Amino acid sequence: MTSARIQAWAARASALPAWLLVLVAAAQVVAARTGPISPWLGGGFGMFSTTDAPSRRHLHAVALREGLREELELPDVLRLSVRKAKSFPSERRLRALARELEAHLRETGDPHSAPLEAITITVYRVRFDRETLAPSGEPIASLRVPVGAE
Amino acid sequence: MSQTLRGIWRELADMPRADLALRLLLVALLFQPVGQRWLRPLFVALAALGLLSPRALRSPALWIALTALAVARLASGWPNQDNHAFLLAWWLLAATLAALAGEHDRILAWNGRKLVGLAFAFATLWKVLSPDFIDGRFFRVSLVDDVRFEDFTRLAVGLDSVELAELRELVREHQDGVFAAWPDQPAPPARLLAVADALTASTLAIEAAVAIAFLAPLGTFVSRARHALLAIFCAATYALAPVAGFGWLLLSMGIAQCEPEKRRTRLAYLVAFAVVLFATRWPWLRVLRSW
Repeated sequence: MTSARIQAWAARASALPAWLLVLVAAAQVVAARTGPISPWLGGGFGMFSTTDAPSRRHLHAVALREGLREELELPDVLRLSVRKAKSFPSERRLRALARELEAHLRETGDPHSAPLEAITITVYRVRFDRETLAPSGEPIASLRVPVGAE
Repeated sequence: MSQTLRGIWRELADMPRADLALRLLLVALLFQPVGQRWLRPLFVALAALGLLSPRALRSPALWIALTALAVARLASGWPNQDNHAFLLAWWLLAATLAALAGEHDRILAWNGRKLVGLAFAFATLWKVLSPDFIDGRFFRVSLVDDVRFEDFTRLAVGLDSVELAELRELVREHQDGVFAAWPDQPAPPARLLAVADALTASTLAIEAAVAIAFLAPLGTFVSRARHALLAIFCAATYALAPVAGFGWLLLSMGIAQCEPEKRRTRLAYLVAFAVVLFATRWPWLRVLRSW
């Protein structure tokens, strides 16, 4: 493209940033209203609009072994994956986290413990009572991932 | 000293509005480097280059590089990036298009107005759609839980550190299900509820007003009030909630619409920029509280 053509193209595309803002923000509003993504994230300008901030969400991972349930400690090396799963607990993200936890257990777990059957991950958000401010947890996404399943 | 200050003011007052807006944006990127650890030095280096070299400031290459960094920041941090990261990317894209088209003034002024208006319109929409914002719960909880509001809460509500810590322990209690009341559960004081409700109403009102003023056709009475509304919003909001980067970004977009003859408006924006810098670097509320 010649310089004059680039100039003309850029002038014609000058409204692009505003259109992108509308497109992304509208998609985020729909996604957060119908799915588990936190309204605080994703470019929809929902920060400071709800108590459902990603930092207030929490996550439990449970290993299932021959009928036994064992709450897993979330390792520091998976901090970023855990944070992403709390922000946007889609099936794909929870499944990926379960895989990472499974690999971590294989590396660091007790080789004599019963074989791992599945990992269940549940993400909670917190709701607050308007008058007393007492918090109550509410599961917003949960997934059971059998070990070895793709 | 006053001669020097007057000289700086004259230079800022006479500067083309697009140059002033872009320089403020680069100053903001220097003061508050953004992005993951590997991106920050790149943002800082490019911002410094743009501030030191007037040629670089007008060069499309600088803005293309900064836009690419902003997009890389969004992509590598997904889904954990907040509003600020997206708005910065849109504003840098506007700067890129302005530089490529050679029409800095028109393109930045138009995009600055639309981006501020749309961002506030969506922020207002989210607040209206959120039942826990409308009924005051968001600020009731945030005033207790968010450490960024701590000085304001203690000053405005009159809580001492022990009372605030007890309430904070309550709202941070880990719960997977329904909360079982504590035997000696702390109760939020009436003044906390009143301050939170006042903040809820005033936040909604000012954000809606900024959205309307920036999206209204130019020349109307409402549109003429937009600069005052944005400067007041930034100075008031970011002095209490120290999120400097977002405030400076908004001010850069606002000043992109200020012709050199609008000296008072420019001054208001520059003062708001300084207020945000001062308030986020110096704990003035803590000092006020200790009096």
